[in-house]
Amino acid sequence: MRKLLFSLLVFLLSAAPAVASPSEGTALGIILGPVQLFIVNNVGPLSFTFDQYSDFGVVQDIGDVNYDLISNVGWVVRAQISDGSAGGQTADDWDDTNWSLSVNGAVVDESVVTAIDGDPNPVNRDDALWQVLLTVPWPQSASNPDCQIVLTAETI
Amino acid sequence: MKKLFICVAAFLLLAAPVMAQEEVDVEITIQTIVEFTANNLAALTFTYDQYSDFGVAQDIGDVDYDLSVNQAWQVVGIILDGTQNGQTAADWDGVGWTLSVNAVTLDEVAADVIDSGVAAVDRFGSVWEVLLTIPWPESNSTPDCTIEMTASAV
Repeated sequence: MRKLLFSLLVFLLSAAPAVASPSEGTALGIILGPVQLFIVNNVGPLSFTFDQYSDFGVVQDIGDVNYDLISNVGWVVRAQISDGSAGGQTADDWDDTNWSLSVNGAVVDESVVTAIDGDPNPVNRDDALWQVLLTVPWPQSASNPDCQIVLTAETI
Repeated sequence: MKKLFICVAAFLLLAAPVMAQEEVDVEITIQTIVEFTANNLAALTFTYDQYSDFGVAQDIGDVDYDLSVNQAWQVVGIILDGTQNGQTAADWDGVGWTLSVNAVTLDEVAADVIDSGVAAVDRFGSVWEVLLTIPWPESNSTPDCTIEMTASAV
């Protein structure tokens, strides 16, 4: 009886591979979705004081926009000036008609969004710095105007 | 049918743009600006050497200044008869003589407005005539004074 059991066990072990063939597999499906991370690092506002005649009518460097951007497809960053009361600002005190503000060399205004940065390839940037230039023509009375630069990153 | 649905869903996921929005605040301060520069290098001078010089207004030259103000403004003038710039003090007859700048009579008592505007200004080389009248008679002398001008926003 013991020999019979042993013989049966050997048979099953040797026959098992034949039962399992032909081989099978498990399909693996991956979806790589569009990935985008966009963080503006500016903590305080960009500020500039016009305190002499020569400040007016010429381009003034008021600082840099600083952002991190990660995107695994083509992308674009657009900007537009917002002159509302967001962030405790004073609404409608930005002279969009006469003043000129640019980010990364692209003029930005209140009427439309303007592309300031973009690329058809993926990107992985930390602390991308883009110069912000402002020109206010003479004369301009004493005041404290403010606005927001709204930056939008989008995959394309 | 199930496979088709999965394919469509995957396509939409891949095709749909991803968007993120951030803001940067901008704050500007525009101060009251008054820049005022008198361009006269040498003194205004005049020599009285004949009878007809006296009793009538004599054009002794022009005040010349640059002025930039970004709001309403005025320039006032007053005569100083002290020792500033090496001058002789108290030798200007502020009572008997008449001196005007831009047709406004100045004296040693109080500042007078000689120029003004209600809007911003940006002038270079503004030239204003200076007239002096000394009545007859006046003894030989070499009197001097300083016309002090002050520009301010109003």
